Amino acid sequence: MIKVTNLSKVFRTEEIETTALNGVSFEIKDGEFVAIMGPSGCGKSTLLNILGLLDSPSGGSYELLGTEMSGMKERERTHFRKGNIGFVFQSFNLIDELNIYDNIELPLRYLNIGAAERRQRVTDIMKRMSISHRAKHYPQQLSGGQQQRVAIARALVANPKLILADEPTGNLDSKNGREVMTLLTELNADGTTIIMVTHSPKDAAVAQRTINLFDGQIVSDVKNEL
Amino acid sequence: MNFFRKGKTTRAAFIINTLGMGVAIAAFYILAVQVHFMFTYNKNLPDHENIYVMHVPRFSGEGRMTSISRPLAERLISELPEIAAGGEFGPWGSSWRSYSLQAEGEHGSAENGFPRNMSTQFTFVTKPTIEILGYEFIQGSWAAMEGDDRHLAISESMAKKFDLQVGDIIQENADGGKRMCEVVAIFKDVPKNTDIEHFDVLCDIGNVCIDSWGEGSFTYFVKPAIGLTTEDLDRAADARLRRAWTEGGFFPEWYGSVESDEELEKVMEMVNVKFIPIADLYFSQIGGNYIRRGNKGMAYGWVAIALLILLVAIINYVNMFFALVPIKIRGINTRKILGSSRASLTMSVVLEAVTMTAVSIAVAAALILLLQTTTYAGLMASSVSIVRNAGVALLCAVGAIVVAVGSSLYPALYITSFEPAFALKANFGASQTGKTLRYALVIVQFTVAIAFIIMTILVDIQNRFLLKHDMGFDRENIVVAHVSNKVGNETTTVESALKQNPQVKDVAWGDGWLVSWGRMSWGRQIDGNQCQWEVYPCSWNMLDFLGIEIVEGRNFTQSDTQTETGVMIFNETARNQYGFTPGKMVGGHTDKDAEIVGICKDFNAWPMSQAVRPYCFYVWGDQNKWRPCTELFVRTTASADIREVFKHIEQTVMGFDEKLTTEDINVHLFDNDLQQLYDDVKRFAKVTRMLSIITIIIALLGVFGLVLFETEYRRKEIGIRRVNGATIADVLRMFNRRYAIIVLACFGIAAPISYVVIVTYLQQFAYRTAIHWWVFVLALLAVMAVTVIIVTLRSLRAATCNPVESLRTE
Repeated sequence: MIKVTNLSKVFRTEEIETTALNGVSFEIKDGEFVAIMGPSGCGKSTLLNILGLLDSPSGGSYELLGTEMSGMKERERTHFRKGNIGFVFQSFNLIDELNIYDNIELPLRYLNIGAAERRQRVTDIMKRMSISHRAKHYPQQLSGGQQQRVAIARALVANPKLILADEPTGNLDSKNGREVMTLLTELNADGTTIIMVTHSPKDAAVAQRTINLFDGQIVSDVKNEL
Repeated sequence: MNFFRKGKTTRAAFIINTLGMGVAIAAFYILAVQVHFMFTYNKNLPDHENIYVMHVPRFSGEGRMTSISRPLAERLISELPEIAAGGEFGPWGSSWRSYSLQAEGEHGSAENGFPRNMSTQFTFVTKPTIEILGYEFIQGSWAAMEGDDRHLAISESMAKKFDLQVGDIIQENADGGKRMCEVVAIFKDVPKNTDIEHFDVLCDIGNVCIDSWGEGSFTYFVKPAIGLTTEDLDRAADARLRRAWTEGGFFPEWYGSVESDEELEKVMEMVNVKFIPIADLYFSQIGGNYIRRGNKGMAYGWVAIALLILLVAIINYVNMFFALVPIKIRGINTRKILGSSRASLTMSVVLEAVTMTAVSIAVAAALILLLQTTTYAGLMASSVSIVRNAGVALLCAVGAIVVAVGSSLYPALYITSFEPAFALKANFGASQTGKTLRYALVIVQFTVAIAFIIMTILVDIQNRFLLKHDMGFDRENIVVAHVSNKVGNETTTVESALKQNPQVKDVAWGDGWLVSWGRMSWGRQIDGNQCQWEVYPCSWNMLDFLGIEIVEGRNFTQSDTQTETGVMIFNETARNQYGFTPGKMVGGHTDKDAEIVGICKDFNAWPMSQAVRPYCFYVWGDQNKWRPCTELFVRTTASADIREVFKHIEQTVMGFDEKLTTEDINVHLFDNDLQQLYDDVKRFAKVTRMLSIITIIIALLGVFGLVLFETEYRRKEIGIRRVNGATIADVLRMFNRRYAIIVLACFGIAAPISYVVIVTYLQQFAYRTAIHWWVFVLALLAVMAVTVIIVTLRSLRAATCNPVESLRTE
């Protein structure tokens, strides 16, 4: 599904040049659950953003679903992202102005899916995430765990082939964190490819494979014993 | 200044709001000066509460005027114990006269840069008027002026400008010719903002027209006996005049007498004399020779506009302070945690507003100074100079500070009202109440802007309509000049001389302006009916010259000038109103009746705000001609070189009277005369246009500021949307849709309001333009287009920003 070869990312300002990723190469197969670990500033989130087509690499190659992504224009990346990739963030990133239903429905609107189908899909995913009763609530009215469930529901509603999760349990207590990890494991069991950035060895242990980054380079890529 | 330490958005908001408020304060000040000028007019005169002006019905029967005959006024003053004193003030004939130095002497010299000539206003006065109006003599006295119209009293400023003193001789140039006069008194300049302020030269009227009951051209000021009111004076005059009609011995015999109560009421309607305090004259709609009139509706309109402009600017302020809440709240509450009191924090926010307003006041002052150097300053009824209007300026500045404190106090109290722990965590950018308030305020701004655009366009259309509307005669290629009586007595010869230039197609003569607010009116008792009409003495070819069609009877012929009483041609309105037909004899300018020889098509001899009234062209006969026609009308060929024609007219006319100067002749295009009649309307249109532009700019600055903050606060949302598949176009559409809905809602409010206002405005005109539907659509499209441009440009940056950056900032 994903083939990354010699990927690099350099951030330049007037005064300083920072290399966030330096010659990163790996492959991820369909249906895999991969955890990316490493200390702060090692390039985990940068890598995730590039994989999620939110950012473009400075060099190297990135193939997603057999298509080369590096060098793609912003409009093309947006087009490719829609429906193929779902995102789950540490800070949930829900829109405060929209209620839970509308937040979840958002990706479907940008995919120009008809109203009836949207309603059906949102209702289904809310039921699956056990948040149906919260449809009319606003994000501020929900607990952190519930907000993350909504964020996962929104990531899943368009049936993406790939879920990118950036420290999904980072803002949650241990109970809610466990629940989210259970949800991700179930999704993966259903066939969804998941790439998760985490600081938590416990969460990483849930994944089938862990890539360790340090100073923008892969220092280890190991299969986990489940 | 804190604003400059809080990032680009805050800085931009500060600049936008300061400029907006500066423009608003400047506009408010200018309007306040105008309104102050209007409401204090004539109130600067000493003891103005006890100065009254006499007024009588107009000859035409419509409205009233201060022009009264001397014997009528003098008899009432002398006979009514209710009047303590009364006297005349006003020119007889032209008030504008030019004065020039003749002899080089110790004074009145042209040395040291003093001018040799000046043109200023002259007026006759009586001794009581000098006392009533509070004139103070610096040199000389009334005694020196009395009984000699060559003995002049001049103003202090004229004396200074001319370097004149009592005893100096100056030459006066007026319609009647030139004469040598002596300066016998110098009076202190009279207060500004009064009807008498422009008269620099006073002269004793003596017995001019003292027995002319038919010459109602004089303005009388009176002082009532102590403690009496307007009603007392009116009642006293009414009682005396009723007695005059029933008992006799007051009016001349040729006035006739009344036989019944019904007749008494009828004549009393025509000659009743009333009084008005001089302070109320300006807004009274009572006309007069030099009496300046103001429109109270317009004054209130300007007050409303001024307040709306200020409101729009205040809204920007309130919006900005609320928009700043999320930026400020963390810092303020951190200070709170560190020990600062709520009062001092509130004060710091209010002080920021006061500082901003101080900068705005400086911007306003700069704008006002700038305005004074432009032609727009001439549009105002009074000077906008800050020095001359220091009181109003101070009031505006203090008012602006008070408004700033007021509009910042609530946000200041709000921002400091939270528990620090809550405030440090909460996201106030998304606060629903704050957003609703901001949008509500912007709705007011948009509504005002749209309504102003609609009204401005329609006022402009009406203005153009008035100037371009078919007046019922051919007004193309007409040049007008003013000549002396000497030239007016040789019209045939002058005409031949003028026509030697092939660019001159035709020549005609009239008495005064062809189109004007009013002219000589005659009232006659005909077949038992009281008939009133306006009279325009003219040359026999005038109707042909103007292309006015005769609908009944015949046109004038050259032989009409040889008749004993002269002949008349009335317009259709006179025929329809009074049943005049060709062949009928009606009272002319002699004791004998004159014949109506024809009826002409109605045309507009008045500004287009007025309807057609009974009107009469009169060709004098060969006897008892009052005065020659001195208004020269020349129709040129369409391709004529106007400058050359102007020169030809000047040279020809001066060839017949070598005393005339080019200034005396004042050759100009007829269209210029028409334009002057619409000065008020044009001024109102221009001022409205200027104010509309200001309001629209301020309102759009407000929208710009709002979008600026909104894009800032919604960066995270934009990022989330982008991550979830929104394209740049989707984001732009999202922002624009919201503002488009606001604009549409505001249009829904503004359209009916502006419709009602414009219908009310148009009611003052007899001829009105249609209220075109496309004006409303145009206003909507204009505001929508500007809004879309602003919103798109501002949102584009947020929309194209890398979503990762937006999410990272959170």
